[in-house]
Formats: sequence, C-alpha cells, structure tokens
Amino acid sequence: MNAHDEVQRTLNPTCTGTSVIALQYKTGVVVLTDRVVSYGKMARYKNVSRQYKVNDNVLIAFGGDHADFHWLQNVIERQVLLWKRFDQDIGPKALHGYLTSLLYAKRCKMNPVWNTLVVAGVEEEEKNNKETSTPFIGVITQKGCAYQVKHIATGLGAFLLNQAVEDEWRKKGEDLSREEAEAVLRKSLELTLYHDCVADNEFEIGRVDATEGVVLGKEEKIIGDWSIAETNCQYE
Amino acid sequence: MTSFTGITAVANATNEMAMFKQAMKEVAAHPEWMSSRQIERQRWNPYSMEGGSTCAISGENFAIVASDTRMTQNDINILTRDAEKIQILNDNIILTTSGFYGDVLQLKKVLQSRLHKYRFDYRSDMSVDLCAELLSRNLYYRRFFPYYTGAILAGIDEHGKGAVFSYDPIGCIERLGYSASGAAEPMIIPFLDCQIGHVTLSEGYERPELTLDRAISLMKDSFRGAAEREISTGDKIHLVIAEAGKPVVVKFLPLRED
Amino acid sequence: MSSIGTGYDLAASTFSPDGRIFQVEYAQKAVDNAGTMIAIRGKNGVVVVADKLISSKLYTDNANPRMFNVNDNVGVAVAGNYPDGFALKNYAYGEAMKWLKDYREPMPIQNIANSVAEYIHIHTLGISRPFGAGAFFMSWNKQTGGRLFLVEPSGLNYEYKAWAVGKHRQAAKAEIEKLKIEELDVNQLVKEAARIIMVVRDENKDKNVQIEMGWVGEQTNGKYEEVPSEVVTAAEEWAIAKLDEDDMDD
Repeated sequence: MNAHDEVQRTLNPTCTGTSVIALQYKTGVVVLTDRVVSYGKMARYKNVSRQYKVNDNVLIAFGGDHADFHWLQNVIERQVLLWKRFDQDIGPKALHGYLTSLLYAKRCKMNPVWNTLVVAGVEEEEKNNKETSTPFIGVITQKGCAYQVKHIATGLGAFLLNQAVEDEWRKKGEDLSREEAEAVLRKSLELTLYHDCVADNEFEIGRVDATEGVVLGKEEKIIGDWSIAETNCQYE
Repeated sequence: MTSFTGITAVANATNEMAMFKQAMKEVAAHPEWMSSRQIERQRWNPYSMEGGSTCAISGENFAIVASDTRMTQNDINILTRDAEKIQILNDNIILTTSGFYGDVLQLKKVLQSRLHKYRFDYRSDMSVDLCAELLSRNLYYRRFFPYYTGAILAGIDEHGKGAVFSYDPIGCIERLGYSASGAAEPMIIPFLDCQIGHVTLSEGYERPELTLDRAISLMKDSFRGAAEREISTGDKIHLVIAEAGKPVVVKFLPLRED
Repeated sequence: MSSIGTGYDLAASTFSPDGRIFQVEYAQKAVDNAGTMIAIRGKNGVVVVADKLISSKLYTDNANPRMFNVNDNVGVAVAGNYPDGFALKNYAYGEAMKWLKDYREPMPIQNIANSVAEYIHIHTLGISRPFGAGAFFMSWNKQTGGRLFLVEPSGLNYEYKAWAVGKHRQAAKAEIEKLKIEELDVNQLVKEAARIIMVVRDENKDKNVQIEMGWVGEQTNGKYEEVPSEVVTAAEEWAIAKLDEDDMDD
C-alpha cells in the first residue's frame, strides 16, 4: 500500500445507506430500503433510491457506500448486456455468483466494494413456465462472504431485526402472502427508525414476483409512535 | 566576478529546488497524519470470521464429516441458520472448512475447478490423497495473503480406508484419525482424544472398536456439547457419511438454535 | 472484370493510376450482389427490411439473423458477406460497451456509426482485406427523431432518409422515391417495405427467400427490436394483396 491509497480506494465509506430488509413470500420477494443518503450521521440527501432493477427477474438493494454502488450498477448493466448478446437474461442466482466473485476479487486487491448487497429475484427453473419459478434472496458482504436466505436484514437491522423477521417468517413459512410480508417489512422499518439514528422514515418497498416481474415501490412514509419521548427527562 | 556569483546563485537555486522536491516527496510518502499508529488503526481488515465448527472422523472403511450450519457475524449475530460448510467434491472426497466464509467459498471453487479439470484430463476422479496434496499446495500458494480457513479433507483412499487430512491456514498438512477445526475445535478435540484416541482415558476403562455407528454417535455428542458452550456453533449438524463402496449419505440433524 | 484491375487490384494498399482502389471496389461488390436490404426513416421511426436466401430447409428459424442490437436504442443491420458483417456488429457492440463503461450512458448512434466507419476505413489502407459488408445503423428518440446511417466497405458513412443496398437496390430506391416516406408511420412503413422487397424480386431467380425486419420508433419506445413474426407475415400478406390489385389495374 502507498500513501495515496486513502484517496484512491474506498477504505472509508463517505455517503452511505443503512439497512436493507428483504423477505420471501409465496411467489416472490419483497425488499424494503429507506430513501436517505447519510454523510456520517447527517442526513445528506433525501429521496434517493437504494434499489436497482437489473431486469424483469432481478432487483438489487444495497447498504453501504453509494458511490461504490453506482460503479457496481454500471458493471451490472454491462454484464446484463453481455448476456443479452447471447439472447439470455441473467437470473438472480447467476448474478449473485458473479457479484460474489467480483467483491471477493476486489477485497483480495485490498480495494473493497463497500457494499452489502441483497440480490432479490425469482429464478426461472423452466423456460416460459412461471409456475415453477422460485423466489431467491442472496446476500453478499463487502468481503465476498455470500449466502442465500429466506429473509434478511442487513446493516444495523441485522442486529435489531433478523430474529424478529425470522419469527414472523416461521409462522407462515413458504405460505406467507405478499400483503403479510409487506406488513412485516413496514413494522421492521418502524423498529429501525426507533433504534438506528441514520435510518429514515421515508422508504420504498420493491418486489419481484414470479408473474408480475420486478415492481419498484413508491415512496412511503411512516411517523411511528413517539409518545415514549415524553418520559425522557432530557426531552423538551 | 559578477558572473561567478551569478553561477553560484543559479547553482544554489537549483540545489534548493532539488532539496525541496526531495522533501516534498518524503512528506507525500510519509505524511504526518499517517503515523504508524494511525495506519494501523485505519488499515482495513480484509478478513472477517463467520464462526462455526467442523469435524471429521475416519475409520477402517469409512470417513464421516460434520459441521454446524450456523453463520455468525461478530460471534453474536446469526446471519443464517443454513450455511453450507461441507462440500462433497466427488464420490470419495469431502471438504469441510471453517473460518472466513469468503475464503471458504473461494477455496471450494478453486478445488472444484481443479477436480473438474482433472476429470477432463484423466477421465477418472481424483483420489483423496492427491486432492489432499493439491489442497495443501493451494493453501501455501497464498502464504503471504492466506486463506483464513481451517480446512479438513476427508474421504476414502485408494485402499478403501477412511482418510482425514487436517490443515492449518497456510497448508501445513497432516493425515490423522480424526480432526476438528473452527470455533469449537478446542472443545471437540479433547473429547475425541479421550473417546477415539484413548489418550486421556483412564486405565481399566473399556476401549471399544471405532465402528461407523460409534463414530456417528461421537460426532453428534461433540456437536451437542459444542453447541451448549460455544455461541457461534449451533442450529443444525450437517453430517456426511462416506463408506467404502457405498454412495455418500447426507443428513441434517437438529441442534440448539439459541 | 479481370481486365480492369491489370495488376493494380492485388492489394488494397495500391492505387490505380487513375486513383481507384480496386480491392475496396471489389469488396463493395460483395454487398452489391447480396440480398436486397432497404431501410426507411418514416414519420415516427425507422424500419429495416432484408431479403434473405434460405439455402437449406434444415436451418432453424432465423438461424442467420442480419439484424442485431448494438445497445437497447440502436440497431444494426448488416448486408454482404455474413461473417464480415458479424464481425462489424461485434466491433460496434464492443465500442458501445466501452462507451457505457466510460460515460455511463448508451453510446449515441452517430458515435457508433463513426467509430465503425473509422474501423472499416483502417481496413481499406492495405494492412489487410477490406470488409465485404456494409452496416445500417438506426435509432429513434423524441429529441432527434429517427436516424439512419449506412457504413459502406470503403468506410463511407452517410446519414440517409432511406436507402437500399444489395442486388435490386436501384429498383428498390426508385420504389422508395415514389413514397412520401416522411408521412408514413412505422406500421405503414413495414407494409410498404415488404411490398418493395417483393416487387423488386426477380421471380425466376429469387427462390427460397425470406423477409427479416427490424424497427425502432415511437411505438417501441425508442428501443430497437426485431419485428414480431406475426407482423412480418401480415405485412407480406398485405403486400401480396396489394401487388395482385396493381396487376388487376394493369
């Protein structure tokens, strides 16, 4: 390493996003991210999406450095075009594998991509048969540690929410409906809002459904219950 | 006279410029704000530990491999309850790895592709002894940026005997009767030393032969014990049984989930 | 033909005394003798049509496509020597990818056409064989409307309202000139283009031929796409009916 690595590599993230929460339901995946870009603990930019539509089957949400993800978007876009050239549409499993290799390779060069990625999608098992498509959630950390899950909360959400989301998921398992899944996500966001100081109350829920494909969410807002603040002795 | 001082002035100026450049270079290379202590603090750590334990036991005509399926972050946060740490590389080679999961995935991919190429070149599966050596060399290849993994390679060797090879992160290799690696290694090894190696077993106690059934029971006990006391081990036992002349059997057994 | 070169046509590196490069002209012949391909810019889009010889029934449907996407917005249609055309398309594709990497936005059609033209031109300087293929590039968007470029084996690169290359290009161009192409929308263009291809065909020689079409316009949202087979079939049926009608009038 030399002295200028500081400015040539992401060794400290600058503009960041926090938790991503995603959950599988019967025929797809729902993904929730808030819409704020933080600069340290300052809410630097608002109304910025952290979800990227790759194609009709894949949606990527991220936590971590925004600039690094913008770079990744371009890499992904070119990868998608490369597949299109051979008349193929990249699926979530393949993209997850590709990004795992990419992030691992970058970490080995000591030049990490400062993102936790959640690759959400539906994997087409048979060509032109949506009935057999299966929901997919794959996670990749900045160091190239990758795994598949049925439900996930990343960032601070990993500490706050993982178990809560898992408990909700276990009640219904594979039979969870989309509405129920979204309700879990909304409740989860409320929890991060109370505990994560860089989480925001403006958010969006994107989804990938076997029949509908990728549907990006609209901006939503929750207020939450702040009555407890009255009992805080420093509260004015 | 005047011209002489002029030349010295130019020479001095040139010299000064050179010294200034040199000083700038030094400052740029070692800026104040990058004192060794700060560099140490700011240096990004390319490794992380996802916890979990793995273990393998070999017998006369079998080898069994087990791992838990928990993946943790900072040893306290469960990332997933069904992580794969065992790879069945072919009908008689099983790899199990603990440590940094990014390296685990990479190591698995490297070995898989090497075995694939071997099959392509020689039209037969690699033997476990060969693969053991291959793995050792692959680990040592990264001697100065190691795979942060505790690998164990197990399987049935060319003589039909069970084999377990144990590694350190940089490829030191040893063929053993049993081995464990990962977070609960310090708990599992003494237990197996007593029950299989009979090293710490008091005299006068029964020393039963190591059958497959006994090995499986010991394996289950090891992991149950580990899951009780070691926080990053739990959720499920992923058990893989290789017996000479039989297909590989895979089982999942429940463990504590807390 | 063999007498005209007289020693000045052995390589593209040699000019003839009257300033011609015979190798490049011969390369142009590869395009001139290939199946007719016409491209027309209309009111709200660009349509390209190729007449392809299907030399065996054992080929799968559209086994030898002549029309491709360079990126989502720009289409390329190659005429002439097939492998040469394929190489051109791949080059254009690579350039578009590089552009996307550097600028993070799709490469504009003019830059694509220019860079391909430059690449072809280098091959006319005598270092290797020239390309025996030409390429139409087409795009449409709200700001600029439809755009159509043709890059020829000489490296020549012009923008056109409409153009035809291949065997029956002269007749096809004459037919196009009869139309008020600026007033035709893409759906009408598809029909007219099919008609023109059919009317210029030599009924005795052109057998086992098939029409391939691509379009880009307002109705495809600025994306270049291959025309769905139903639409092509419908256009062909319309063209046949129209031609019969014209025959009756005569």
